[in-house]
This record gives sequence, C-alpha cells and structure tokens, in this order.
Amino acid sequence: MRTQVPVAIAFIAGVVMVIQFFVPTHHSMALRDTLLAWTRIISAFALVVGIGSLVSINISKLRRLSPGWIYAIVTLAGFAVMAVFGILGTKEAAAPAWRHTLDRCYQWLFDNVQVPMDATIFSLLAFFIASAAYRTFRARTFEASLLLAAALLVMVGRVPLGVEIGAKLHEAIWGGSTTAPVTPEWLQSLTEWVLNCPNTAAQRAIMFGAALAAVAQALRIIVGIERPYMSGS
Amino acid sequence: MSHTPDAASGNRDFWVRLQRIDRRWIFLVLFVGVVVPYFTPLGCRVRPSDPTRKLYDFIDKLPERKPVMISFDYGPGSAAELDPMAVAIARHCFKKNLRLIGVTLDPTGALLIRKAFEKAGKDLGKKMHEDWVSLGYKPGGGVVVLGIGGGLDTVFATDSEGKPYGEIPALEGVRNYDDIGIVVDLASSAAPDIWIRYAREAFKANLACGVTGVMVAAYYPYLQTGQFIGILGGLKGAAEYEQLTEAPGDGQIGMDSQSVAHLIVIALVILGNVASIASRRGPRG
Amino acid sequence: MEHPGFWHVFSVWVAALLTLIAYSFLYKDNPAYRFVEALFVGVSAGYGLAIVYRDVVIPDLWKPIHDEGDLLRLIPAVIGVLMLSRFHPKISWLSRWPMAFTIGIGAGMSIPATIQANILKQVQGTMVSPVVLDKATAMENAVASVSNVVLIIGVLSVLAYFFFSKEHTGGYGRFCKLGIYFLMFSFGASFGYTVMARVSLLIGRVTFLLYDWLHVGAVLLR
Repeated sequence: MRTQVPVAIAFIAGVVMVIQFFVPTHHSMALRDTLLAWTRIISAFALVVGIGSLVSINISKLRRLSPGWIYAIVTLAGFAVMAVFGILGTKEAAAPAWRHTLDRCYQWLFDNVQVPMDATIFSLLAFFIASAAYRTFRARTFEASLLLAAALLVMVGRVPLGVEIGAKLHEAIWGGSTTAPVTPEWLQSLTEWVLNCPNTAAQRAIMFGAALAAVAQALRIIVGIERPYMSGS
Repeated sequence: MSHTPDAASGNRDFWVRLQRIDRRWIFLVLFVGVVVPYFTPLGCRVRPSDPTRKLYDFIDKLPERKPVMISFDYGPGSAAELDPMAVAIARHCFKKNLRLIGVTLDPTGALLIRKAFEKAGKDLGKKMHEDWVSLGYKPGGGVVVLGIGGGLDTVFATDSEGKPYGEIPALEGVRNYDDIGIVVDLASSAAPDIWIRYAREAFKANLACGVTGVMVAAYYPYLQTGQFIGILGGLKGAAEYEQLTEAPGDGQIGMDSQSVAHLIVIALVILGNVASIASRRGPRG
Repeated sequence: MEHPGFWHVFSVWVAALLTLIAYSFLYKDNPAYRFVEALFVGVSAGYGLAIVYRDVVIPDLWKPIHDEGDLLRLIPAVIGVLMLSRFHPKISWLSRWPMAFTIGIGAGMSIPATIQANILKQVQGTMVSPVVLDKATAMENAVASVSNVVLIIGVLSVLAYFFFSKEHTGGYGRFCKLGIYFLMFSFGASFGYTVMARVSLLIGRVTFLLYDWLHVGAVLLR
C-alpha cells in the first residue's frame, strides 16, 4: 500500500501520457486534458505544502525562542497580513466594497513592499559579481584566458558604448571607406557570431547530454527504478 | 633601471594590498558609475541585433486584431530586465492594433501582467478585456502549456478579475495556439524550455522569448534551429526593441549606465589580473 | 484614500526606504536589513498562498463544483489534500500518491517532447552544409561556411569531451581539448551576460530611486 500504490500510480500516469502522444485520438486527447486539469489542481497543493513548511519552521523558531526569533515574528506577520488581504480581497464586481478595499491593500503591499524588496535584494548581486570579478577572474591558464576573452568581448560588444568605440576604431583605420572588410558595427557582429557559432555549438552539446539524461531519468521514474516521490514522507 | 630587493618587495606589497582592498570601495565605484550617466548622458545609439529584429519583423507583419500571447514567467526580482521588454512588445502590438493575452507560469508574475499592459496601452487608449486580458497564474508549468493546446478556455476558465472566458471580447475566437499569432515567453527561469517542448514542438506554435542576461547564451541553439523566431537578451534586448518601435523606455534609459558599469567591471578584471601577476613576482636575489 | 497625491508619495517613500535599508547590507549586515529580509520572505509566502487561492482554488475548484456542479473536480481536490498529510508524520506516506501522480504525468509527457525539441531538432540544426554558396557575395559565403564548420566541429568536440568511455589521449585527446576550448568560450559569454544581467537589476533600482523618488536626472523620459 505504502510502496506499491505510488509506484503503480506513477507508472500508469506516465504510460498514459506517452501513449496519448503517439495515439492522438479524440478519446486519448480528452483523457489527456482531464489528467492535465487534475495535475494543475494537485500542483497547487504542492505550493501550499512549501508555504506550510516555511510557516511551521518559523512557528517552531518562535516557540523555542531560538536566535533570530524576533525575525520569525516579522515573517509570520508579513505572511498573515498578505494572505488575509489576498484571500479576502477580490476584484469581482458583485463583491462588497470592503473586499475591494482589501484587494487594493493587497495590490499596494505587492507594489510597494514585495516588489522593491525582491528587486533590491536581487540587485545586490551586481555589487558582488563586480567584486568577485576583481578578486577571482584570473587568466592563469589558456582555458581561463579563453573564458576571460569571451566574457570581455560580450561585455564590450553588447553595450552601446562598446559598439561606439568599435565604430570609432573602424573610422580611425578605414576612415569611412566602403571597401573596408568589416562594417562599423563589427564589434556587435563579432559578439553575435560568438553567440551564434562557438557558443551555440557548446550549448547544444550540453543540451544533448542533459536531454538524454532527462529522458533516461523519466523512463526510470515510470518503471519505478527511480522513486523521487518516496523521499521526505 | 634596477630595483633594490626592498623596493621590489615594497612594490609587491602594494599589489598584494591592492588585491585585498575592502570590497566596499568596489561597491562604491560601481554605484557611482551607474548613477553618473543619469546626470551626464553619453547618448550612445542602440543598434538592434538580428534576434531582436526578427521578432519585431514577425509581430509587425501580423494582421490586425490577431492575438499575441505574452507569458510573464518572472517575478519582481527580474522585472528590471524583463518589464521593459514586456512594455516595449505590448506597445508595438497595441500600435499594430493586435490583441494581447497575458499569462504566467510563475506565481510572482501574476500581478505584473496588468501593470505592463496598462503602461503600454495608456497613451493609445487600449482597454482591458477589449484589447488585452490578463489570465493570471496557473501552477504546473508544462502541464499548463500543453493544456493550452487542448483549449485555452479549459486552462483559464476566467481571467484574473474573475470574468468568464466567454464574456471577454479580447478572447473572441481564440481556442488554442492555432488562433494565436505568436507566443512570447519573457522568463527568468527555465520556462522557455517548457514552451519549446509543449507549445512549439507539440502544437507548432510560433514562439519567441525574452530572457534575463544570465540565460541568453543557453537559448541560442533554439534560435539557429528556428524553434524561436527571435530572442531578446536582457535590458539591452529591451532597449533594442524600444529603438525599433521608436518609443524610448526604461531599456534605453539604462543603456548608458550599463555601458559605464561594463567598462568598470572590465577595468576591475584587468586591474585584478595585473595585481595578481605583479604580486607573484618576487625580488631576484 | 481621499488624497491620491498623498498616497502616491507615501507609497514611493515606503518603497524607497525599503530599498535603502536593503542596500545597507552592502556596508555591513545589520538588524534593519534582517528585518526587511524577514518581511520579504513572509510577504512573498502570503502572496503565494493568496495567488493559489485566487487563481486556482476559486476558478478551478470552487466555481466548477459549487456553481456548475462538476463533482469530478472533487477527485483532484481530494488527491491534492493528501499532499498536506506531509505535516502529520503518521500519515505522511499518503502524500506519496499525489506526488507520484504529478511526477508520473511530468515524466510521461516529457519523454517524447524532450526527444523532439532537444535531440532531434538539435541534430537537424547541426546537419548544415560546410560549404555555403547561395549568399549574395563571396565574403558572405565564406563567413557562412566557416560558421557552419565551426558549429559542426564545436558540437562534435564537446560531445567527444563528455564521452568518457574512451581515454582522452592522442589525436582524440586533442580533439577533446578543442571541446574544452569551445566550452570555455561559451561559459565566458555566459559570464559576460551575467554581469550584464546583474548590472541591469541595479539600474532598475537606481532608476526608481532617482526618477520616481527623488525626481532628479538629466533625461526624464518617463
């Protein structure tokens, strides 16, 4: 019951989805659409489980008064306010006015609290990447030099000032001659070429490996060799 | 010119100290470099790249009132890069009198759809439900994308305002990918892979993407195979699209700062390498 | 909310102060930053729960079951509720059923799609002619030919590098080494773009602080 049933469920669900792809009849597509609708609903509960874990971790932190418990209060308060406003608030025209007000509060919190905090915390990475580039990006070997060269080329070739500098160089060398072997936008073209050719080649080879691994993993899940759904329960 | 061992060792100490400089000085230099161009613009021209131009040309040729779907698969953390793209593409669509459908596979993207469409359509008098609609978020990723192929209304019974699908003029005659001119996925995650697999390959939907700079390089193979019609890469991609639509926005505002910041990072990398080499050279004795 | 002007200014000030507090971390970790971080986590979680309720529970469960009498929807609802059993150790094994269902569906639908999108189409894209003659000029033909050759050699050499069943020695080893060079070039390009991405995020906040909050800056385009 605890082991065989989930293995059987994964097997049947997986096989049905594979079969419907190769046998796209009216019935198989209707079955597919029903299963997809069910999966969307079930996936929503997975999100709730994630949020529930976060809340329970913070509650236990608060109960034990472990270090940083004061921040657990902030997290739980932020969670409660946003959840209540979001769940009780609505935009539906037929709803009472107080629910519209709560909806506006929910939108306000999103625009003026969640958005700036999320955007700012992510933007801190700009400073750390600059610092990391200064401290660790060293051309110690030929391979590292190649990596450095490509990075510098993209950094110069993908910004207007870099392309402008390239155009000025072009003018200095060829003086606007129509017989020049490259265009004034040569730096941008070169960057595009790097992305389109050597980069595409390497990324494609990585993609082959990842795709084959993903297919193998999916097969292992369907036949029950791999059972990720058994963990954590 | 010859150096005494003491002078050489002093020089080396300088380079060693330079390598261990308090990182907050680097933070300050970068911040100043980003801020200064807001007061003294460089005025460099943005030259659109081919992947951006291909998407622009495709949308430009769509017939009037053809629906375009934009998937907002990002949250506020990446909005600085992707919101300008959304606004630029939406503005182009509105100018061409195309209908816009906003969806998202990322819960944090749900409230960004309306803001972007309102901003783009404000000056053109475009109205919600008439010219655009936000269908909001559905969980499941690939399950949602594959489901749209079976019927957009089976996945989104109502829009994010709670209005039933059948009562929304912007969705009139839209059954599935067959009725959508192009799907543009704006993403900060692996969502473009999902759209490729379950919209492009399964239903032959026309597809393009706009992604954060971190991800651009990984999506070029799809461009070469034609699975993507075009790609917008990072804030520069947004600036390029704004240039093509002749409507400057947040993308172009940021390009001067972007240029200066890149030059600062390049200078830092070079300085770091010089310091590393110089500090390794010992006094000859 | 009688005075929209006041609310707009107040909202911008709240957002600006939160932005500045978050940036204070750059100087040093401090309680104000940790407050903002904790608030962000809480608000995001609350938002997540609300969005699931608004965009899934109401339109996909409540309305079909309550308004339209679609009782079949009760099946995924019950299966989904089993997932919450993870919070009760004694019955947590029940959460395996919905997990197995979603993972099984995901695995089944990904097999043909991945083979098509990431293997067959990519193989097709690599089967390009090493000699191109249909461009407008000889120069364009040469560039296209070189590009195609680079693409073919690049893909094959990187694949060779990832193939560990044969020892990387001799001519084959040198070919694998070429694969490493391609990888380094690609990673370098990714790094360049990563710098670009991170700087863009900073630019977004600076634009907000200068234009929306302080109303300064030479080019007020907005």
